[in-house]
Amino acid sequence: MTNMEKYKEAFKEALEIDDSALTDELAFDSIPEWDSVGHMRLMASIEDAFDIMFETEDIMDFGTFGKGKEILQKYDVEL
Amino acid sequence: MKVKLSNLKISHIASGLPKHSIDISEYEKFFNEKEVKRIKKSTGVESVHVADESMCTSDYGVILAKRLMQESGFTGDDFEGIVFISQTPDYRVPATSVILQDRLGLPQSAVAFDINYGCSGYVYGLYQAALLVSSGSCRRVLVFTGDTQLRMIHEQDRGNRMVLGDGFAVTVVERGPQTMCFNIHSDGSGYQYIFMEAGGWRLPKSAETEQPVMDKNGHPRWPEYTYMDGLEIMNFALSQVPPMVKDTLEYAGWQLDEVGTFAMHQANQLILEFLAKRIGVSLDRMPIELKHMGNTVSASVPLMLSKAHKKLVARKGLSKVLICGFGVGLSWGALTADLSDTVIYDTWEL
Repeated sequence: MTNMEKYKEAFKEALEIDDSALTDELAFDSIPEWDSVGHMRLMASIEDAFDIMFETEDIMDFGTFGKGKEILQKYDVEL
Repeated sequence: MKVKLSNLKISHIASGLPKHSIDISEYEKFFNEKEVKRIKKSTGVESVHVADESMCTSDYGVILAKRLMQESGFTGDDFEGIVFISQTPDYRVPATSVILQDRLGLPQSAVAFDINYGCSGYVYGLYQAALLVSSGSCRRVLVFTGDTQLRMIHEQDRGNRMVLGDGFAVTVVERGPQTMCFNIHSDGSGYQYIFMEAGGWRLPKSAETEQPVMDKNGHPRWPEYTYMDGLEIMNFALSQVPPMVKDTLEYAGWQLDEVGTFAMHQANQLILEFLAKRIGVSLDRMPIELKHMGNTVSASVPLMLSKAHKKLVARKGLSKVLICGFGVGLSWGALTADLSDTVIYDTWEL
């Protein structure tokens, strides 16, 4: 599985959404599934997928699907 | 604030839950079924207990404390102080702890305090009791923690409705051989993150405060009910709790791997998993007991200890315990204690 596939899978599993929702613009609170509970689950899912531990500020900055890709670069995860 | 207080022990812990419980699935009647399943899976909460409408927090306190006295052989006269930690007092005036002095038969020479805290409240209550005992003011102090908090949550507030539950605990702090280390922090700049805006003197209840207003994310919140900004609280917990835990252990001279139990406020499954990872401990040393009681704010730590104590005794996990609470205020704190000789009762049905 490529890193991008892992990244998408983490979103789909944590937020229980389909591929069709996964665009760079998909944002926190833009869909009911990505609320604060969904966000915690998403962060846990991405940490597990890439075996990383986010800094707290990155958890707060992780506001869109696109922004998440930028943040993961800090953890040496290339998508 | 850090302090070492001596000549102490926590001798008894008893906790209880109201008889009536609600399966979280019942909320599928009011909210989207998929949402309910998703929240249930994420928070680890399947059912919560709800206080009887005719009962106040203090009524549960009386039942619990009298049962504790019956089981332990104490009488009211054995206590020289009472600390009542709750956000749901009987009246705005007077303090509920004073009423409890009478109802529990404590002597009139007893000192009584109400302390208004939630999820960090157990640490505050133990700290206040430890001060009273350590200073020589009291030989033995009864600490009550708990809330009828579901009454403070609006019926349409799906996030909080599905994770918070009602629960109660009493803890006895008395003279003993231990030195306990306390580490307590406050940050009032975050007071609006867990907030019941209306009903005090700054914003008395009115026809206006009955109406919902929008939070910063465009979601409704109800000024007369408790509001919680979940994301900000997660940010706060992950930023502040791990360093405070490490600082407390260093202050106590304990190594991380010596600690038998990290008795954390039972916020929700995901927050506890995040904290365990960031503190660097496995979940077998940070027990989670949420499934059938939810987040019971200031009673969550003693309720967890009541539920898990047999397992903790079996693996000798109670001689070095770190107790930690974090939440409303914002406030957060921790203490170290030896609970290996503490009588911890199974959870009682109230």
